[in-house]
Amino acid sequence: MRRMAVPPQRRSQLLRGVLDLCLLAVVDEEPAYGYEMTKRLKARGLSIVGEGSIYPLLGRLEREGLVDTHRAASDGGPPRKYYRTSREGQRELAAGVSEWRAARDAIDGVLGLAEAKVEAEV
Amino acid sequence: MDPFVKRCRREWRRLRVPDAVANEMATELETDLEEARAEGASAEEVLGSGVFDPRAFAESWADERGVIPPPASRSRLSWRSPMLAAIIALTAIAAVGAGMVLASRVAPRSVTIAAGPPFAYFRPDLRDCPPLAPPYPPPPNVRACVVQGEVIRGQTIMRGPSLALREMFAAKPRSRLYPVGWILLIVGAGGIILVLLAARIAGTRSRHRTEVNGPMGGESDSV
Repeated sequence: MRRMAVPPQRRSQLLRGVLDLCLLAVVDEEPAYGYEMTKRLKARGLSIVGEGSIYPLLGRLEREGLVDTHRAASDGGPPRKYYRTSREGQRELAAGVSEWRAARDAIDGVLGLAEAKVEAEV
Repeated sequence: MDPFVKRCRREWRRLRVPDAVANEMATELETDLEEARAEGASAEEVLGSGVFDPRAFAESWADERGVIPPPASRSRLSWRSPMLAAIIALTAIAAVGAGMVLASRVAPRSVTIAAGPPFAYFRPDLRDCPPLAPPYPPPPNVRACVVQGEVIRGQTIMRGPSLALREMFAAKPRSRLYPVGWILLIVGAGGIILVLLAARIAGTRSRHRTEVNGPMGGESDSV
């Protein structure tokens, strides 16, 4: 069976639509600074290597009031900038998760049919 | 300072991001990169693909944060100072020229009108008029003497217009200030008009570019 190579930009396109939700979810659990967020995402299987940076995205979330920020002392270094979800961010996260699940289920339905067809041909 | 952060700071300075905001972003970036280095992680694990283009990364971050002044004000600010300086300089030139023209207009003046060769001209300053020679009588309503034949070097010869106009353009300056003054006045006034026209055209083009390209933001380096 010939395997179709997944275009590298498809993953980027998929991530582009949901990375803001992922960041909100990460900081909703517990406030975090930028690098800490990338570590938590990586621990959950989502690496941003080869993708865009999260900092502009954090800037947008901050500008839109979806996250609050505060400075907290770090171990012997300068104070770090921590992000956490605001009330508006929590509402946005809930709505986004709901949309994602709906889209995911719909796409799973379509891809499930395609997968069954491919297996049948093989 | 980390070289990447240094390049970002340079870009924020170019974009006129407020210093306090630029310092905050630089500190945030510096501390994260430092921690990543200490843990053996690469800069790409912190910055993603933004690590390969510090300028684009810095601009994208500042744009998404909404801390870049609008393009129109930036461009206005960039050419406003030279434009003002040019207008002030040209106004000064025109003023000096006007002063020279006024200062050099001294009586007595003599006027030459073209009445067919040889020329006749007036000498309003003369009280005792030499005898007239036909066929060049003075024009009506002019109390002046007509001296035939002599053409004073440097006088302007006019045809047709009124005596007042002839007097103005035919005035014989006592010094060379008069023509120089007129030149400066025309250069100054003309230059001011040209600068204002250029400013108007530049302003129109800047507004047109903003409408075509759309507002900044929306497209960012973030995934």
